[in-house]
Amino acid sequence: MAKDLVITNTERQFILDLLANSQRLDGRKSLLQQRDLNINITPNRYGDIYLELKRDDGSIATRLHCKVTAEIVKPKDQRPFEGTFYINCEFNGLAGLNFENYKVGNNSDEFYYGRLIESMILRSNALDLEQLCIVAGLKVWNIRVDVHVLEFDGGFLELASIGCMTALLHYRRPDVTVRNEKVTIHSFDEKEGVKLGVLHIPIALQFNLFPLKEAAEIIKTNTSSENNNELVVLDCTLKEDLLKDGEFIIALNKNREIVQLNKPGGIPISASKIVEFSHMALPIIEETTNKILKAIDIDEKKRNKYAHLLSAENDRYVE
Amino acid sequence: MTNLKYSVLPNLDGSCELSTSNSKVITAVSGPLEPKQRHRLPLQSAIEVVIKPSFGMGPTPREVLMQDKLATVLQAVIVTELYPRKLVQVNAQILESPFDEFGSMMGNSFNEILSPMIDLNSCFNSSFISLCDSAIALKSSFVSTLLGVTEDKLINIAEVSDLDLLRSFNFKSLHHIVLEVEENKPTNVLLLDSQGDFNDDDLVNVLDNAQKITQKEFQNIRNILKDKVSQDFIWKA
Repeated sequence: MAKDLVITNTERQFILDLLANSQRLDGRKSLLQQRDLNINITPNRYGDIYLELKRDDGSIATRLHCKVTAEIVKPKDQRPFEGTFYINCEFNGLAGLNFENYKVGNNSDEFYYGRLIESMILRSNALDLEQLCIVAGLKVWNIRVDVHVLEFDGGFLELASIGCMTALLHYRRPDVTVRNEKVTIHSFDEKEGVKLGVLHIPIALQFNLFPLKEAAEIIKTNTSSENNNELVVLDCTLKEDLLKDGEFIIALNKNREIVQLNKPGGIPISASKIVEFSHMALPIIEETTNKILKAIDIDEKKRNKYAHLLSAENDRYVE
Repeated sequence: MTNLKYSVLPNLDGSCELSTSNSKVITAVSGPLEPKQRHRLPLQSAIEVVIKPSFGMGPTPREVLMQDKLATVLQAVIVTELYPRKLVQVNAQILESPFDEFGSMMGNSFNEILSPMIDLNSCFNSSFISLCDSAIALKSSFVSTLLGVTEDKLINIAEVSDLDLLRSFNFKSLHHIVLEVEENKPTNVLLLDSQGDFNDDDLVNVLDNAQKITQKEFQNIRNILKDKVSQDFIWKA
């Protein structure tokens, strides 16, 4: 039977004291320092990504596998011109003994975060669903991203959103020709696969809040002049995650657009903090986006090593 | 070519990531654990096997059948009497299967049967390493082989790296054999799962070949385990 992760009072106090002194249990020296992100793309597949968060000592803290699969389905009646998109993520016994098999909502957060990423991608139109239509009302592509958690020590939301976007950017579906309502699906040998219509790359970031005072006290005494009632921590480990009291989730893209904001309960923060958080998130999102694009670019170059020989394009010389 | 990595999940007792030429699985073993009341057997340990598919929600009936096959063999191999009222949990996640891509199932009626067999074959070999890694007591070792018989050839499916070729083979029959290995020699048959059209000559031929492959594979596994033991017990020297 799965046993919940229990933190003793002394350990709890220790972790909170460390945080108050800007120290982390895994050796990080700042509350805003994130663990190293590694993106690995499986060489002979499309949309098959492994992501790792590495600790300072080189050991793997969190590891996810994201895989995109496509199938042809009948569209929803209300939306005959749109394909469908779904994210499937669940924790199981592989992630640790505190996660039970067959139990829905183990972490209670996984489904919540899954839906959060799904709405981040769908409602901001990051994935163009109309491009997935084959025959209106009859046949559309259903794109599914499976997120498998292979190792877990916090940082799920960020990693899963990065993984989903990388996988969607990398995936190619088979090309389709429609002639007189007759649908032909071409294998990758016949015709090169078609990339999905990813219009922008939103990435979620979670600010974890730790109270310096009791919540009731904050509400009672809060005036506009003092607003430093909380510690803000990025990329929490599993243990820190259990001790936090509130979170603020923001999804942004490189174009400096806010895609989603979420502050589900927890300790109250002052409204001006939202702008501050957005500014803090921007450089991080920018860096992550570049990392994703670079990983995909490197993979593309490996796959397409003869492109420069086959290209009919003339060399351009710029003065 | 089979590629093995053991102890990949530090949070669990034993784990292994195994990739063959065309599939990839990760398995983990935890135990002996405190089981739920209904799993508690007075004289032996219960064995729970959970296999997750490479995509979609699972386990679906396809995976449940695989789980049952794996659990039956593990029941025969694990020394269950050593851990009464306990639970040994085996988790497997299929990461890559040759039939993940859209449309790859079509074109050959054997693919529907071949796909779970390939996954299960990898799960068997990977769970053996995981069991060794978790230091659960085993009565003997085992190696799993998947062979396909075509008109004129016998094919070791784990070694076919060309996916298109794999999907288009004209198989007459498919055989999944798990052989027990004692003192470096393949002995008993722990599982024999054959599908298709075959006669007794075919089966004898398949078993003969499976023995040879098992012998070779086990040597490979043995070397890996030897490395592992020398690493794990470094303080003993």
